[in-house]
This record gives sequence, structure tokens and C-alpha cells, in this order.
Amino acid sequence: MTTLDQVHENNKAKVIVIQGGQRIRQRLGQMGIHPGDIITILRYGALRGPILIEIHGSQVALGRGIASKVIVEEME
Amino acid sequence: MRIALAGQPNCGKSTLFNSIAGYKAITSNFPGTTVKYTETKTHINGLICTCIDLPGTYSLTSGDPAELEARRHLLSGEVDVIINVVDASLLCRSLELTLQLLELEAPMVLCLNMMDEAQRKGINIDTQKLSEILGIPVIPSIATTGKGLKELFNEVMKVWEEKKKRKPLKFSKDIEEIINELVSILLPKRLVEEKIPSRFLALKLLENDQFFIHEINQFKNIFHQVKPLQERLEQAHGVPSDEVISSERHALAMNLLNRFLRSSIHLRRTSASPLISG
Repeated sequence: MTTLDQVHENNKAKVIVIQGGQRIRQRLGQMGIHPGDIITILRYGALRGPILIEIHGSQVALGRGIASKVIVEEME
Repeated sequence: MRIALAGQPNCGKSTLFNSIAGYKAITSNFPGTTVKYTETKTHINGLICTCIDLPGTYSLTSGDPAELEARRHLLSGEVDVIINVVDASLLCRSLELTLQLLELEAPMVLCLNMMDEAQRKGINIDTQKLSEILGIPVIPSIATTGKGLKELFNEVMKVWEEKKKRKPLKFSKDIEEIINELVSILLPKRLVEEKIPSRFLALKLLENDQFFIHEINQFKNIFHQVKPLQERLEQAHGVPSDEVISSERHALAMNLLNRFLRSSIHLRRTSASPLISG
């Protein structure tokens, strides 16, 4: 169990829980990120820039702050 | 007749708007281009209609000013037909908004925009099936070239003439029970405004939507009845009540998706992926 911003590039991770208030859950939910979903981490931005992920066939960029609130389980 | 274009950010509402209005609203390939709404008058089959281009909304539960503006407009009761514009290549995410719009129980047409983009991604949609499941007309279109727009507005006219109430899709049984319980509390009171369907209001209250919670706050006896219902949802699922509803909607959307997608989404190569996967 780690946070989304700790997963290695190119790896898949399963969302366990979103650690945050209603607003954060809503925001992530709108982008299609819910507990149980599988995320592919595509790329890390340079200099602690945003993280590019793929979820349900669409690409989304997340800031490190919000990504650190997503608790995931890294898959292989 | 007033038609409203509603949909998620960057799905082509303004592009569609431009092609019927002959007016250049600013469009770009970035979400959040439209912040205020624009209005135009057009002729459809000889009838003068007002068409409103709303800012994109990811959901109907939100605190974002652009999203509030869109929601206020949809709930104002001035809109006769909603055109839900959807990016066909991002269906899984867009369907959640469609489900929420259905909760408004207003006449609605689904416009599957960017069909060319979807085809390029290998997404093949059974529009007939989708229309059957949702109970609303589904029209594929490509707004940049104007393809499908004629059919779309023909369908809008038909829906408007029928004036049929749309039935929202049902959630799982235990959640539906709690919704019904709250609806039966709300129904006799004629709360807020009559234009807001009671099921929609009940859902928003269960989702702890600040705007509606604030509205209901004046009716103390109802306000006290909402809390225990929220808690029951929380206890049954072990997560906060807003998450229960949003995951339920998500699950419903995913379930629907499997039913009308003809072929699975192939792994597509993006500009970045060849570099990464080698």
C-alpha cells in the first residue's frame, strides 16, 4: 500500500481508498477515479510536476498534492 | 422552445452551438473554455428556438462557479429540452453525467459527439441499444463537420412534442429503499421549488450537496430526518454517503458500458506510449 505519487512509471495500481474530504472525492470521482479502479501511471512531470495517468481509456494529469491523497496498491 | 446544451468540459458543446448559431463562440481543445453561457435564436423547421450553450460540468454536484451556473440554469424550469453532448471517445466518464441529467426527469436527447474520434480509438457503439437502455434518443454526430446535426434537431423536436417524462435509472435495491424513504418525506412538503424532481432532491441531500443542504436547513424537521438516512447509507457501505452514491453511479455506468459497446477498447498507442513501452 502506497500513495499514487509513489508508484513507478508504467506500472498499474489499484485504488484502495481516497484519503480526503468530500471535495477531493468528488473531484477525483468526476475524473473517473473511484476506489477499486485500476490506474496506469504513464509519466511523471519533471521537477515534481504533475503525474500523467490513464484511467478507463482516457488520460488525466494529476498534481502531486492530490495524487498523494490516493492510496493505491501497486500491481506487480 | 428553449434548448440547453449540457455536457462535460471539452466535449464539443460550443462547436455544436457554433454550427447552428452561425456565431463564433470561442472554442478550443481545452476543458473550461466556456465559463458563461451564450444564447442564440435559431429556426428549426420554421419554429424559432432559443438555444443555450452552457459551460461544461463534470457532475451536477459541485461548488465550481461555472458548474453552479449550468446547474442553476437546468433547474430553473425554463429549459424545454436538454441536449446532452457526450464525447463518444470518453464514454465511461461522460455517462455518469448523463445518468445525473436523467435524474432531472426532463425531456432529453443524447448527442454522441466526436464519433470520428471514437472510431479512431476503436470504440464501436451500439446506439440503438444505448437508446433502449437510457430510454432517450441517441444521435451520433461530428460537430466539426456538421454531420448528424439535422437528425439531432429533428429528434429534439420530436421529444419536445411528446413532452414525456423520462425515468431515471435505478440504483441497487438497498440504496433505492433509502431514496424512496426520503422521497416520501419530501413529497408532501412541496419543498424548495416544484420544478425540482423529488428523487433528484433526495439524492442530492443524501450526497450531502451543500447548496441543497443549506436550502433544506430552514425546514428543521426535515433536516433532522436526512441525517439518520445518510448515516444508514454510511453504515451499510462503510464509506461516506456521498461516496456511496457516486460509486453506485460509477458502477451503473460501467455496467451499461459493457452492455452497448460492441467491441472492447483496444489498447491505443498515444504519442507518449511508444516511447515508454518501447
